[in-house]
Amino acid sequence: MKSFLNVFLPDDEYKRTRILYFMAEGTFISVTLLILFAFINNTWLQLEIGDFSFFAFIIAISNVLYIFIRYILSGIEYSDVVTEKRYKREVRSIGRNGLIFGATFLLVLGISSGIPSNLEEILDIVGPAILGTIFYFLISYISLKRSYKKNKDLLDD
Amino acid sequence: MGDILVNKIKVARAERGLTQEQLAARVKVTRQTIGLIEKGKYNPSLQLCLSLAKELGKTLDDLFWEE
Repeated sequence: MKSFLNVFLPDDEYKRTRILYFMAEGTFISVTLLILFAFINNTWLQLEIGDFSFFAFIIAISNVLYIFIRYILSGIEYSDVVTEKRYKREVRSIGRNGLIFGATFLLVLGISSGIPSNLEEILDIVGPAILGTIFYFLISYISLKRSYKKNKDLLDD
Repeated sequence: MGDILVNKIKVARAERGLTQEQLAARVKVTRQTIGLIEKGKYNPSLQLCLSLAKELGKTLDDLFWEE
């Protein structure tokens, strides 16, 4: 089926279907929230348009987050991790990639902020990099763990 | 998807001496998708049904028709 969404979708039809459902659910929730907010705003809040733009931005971000969280928890990312050996290999790979991600994050932040002159500026660069790395590890690990469990349940009896 | 139907796919795969991984590679899906179809947790598209039938040397009736 021709659609610009194909760019974001994997080849595997099960994964494809699940992700399309997540996108549809996310969009449905966003549209419902927008209509609800518009109704509440017209009848009660009477916010300025600037505030509405902020709310619309929050809804857009929530939409992306919803799809992302559903994807991570669905256990479809690591669809071929079935053996313990492969699982451990993936854990090590997540560790390596996490460190690379953290180092890149640190580098980009360092370049964009310039050379730090005091402790506070150092923390402004190192803090987000550490948090980003922890976040990366956590998300990838949860996704791997969920996928591994799901795949084991689907193995030949 | 009924249990009989589900077992037909699994039996046909076993008759061919294929693992889930091998069948998945041949029909260009993931092993997880094959596992889900065999457990009756996912209804494949007609296109995938045809690919499975061809790879397993069966007709669509053999694999997907409940008697």
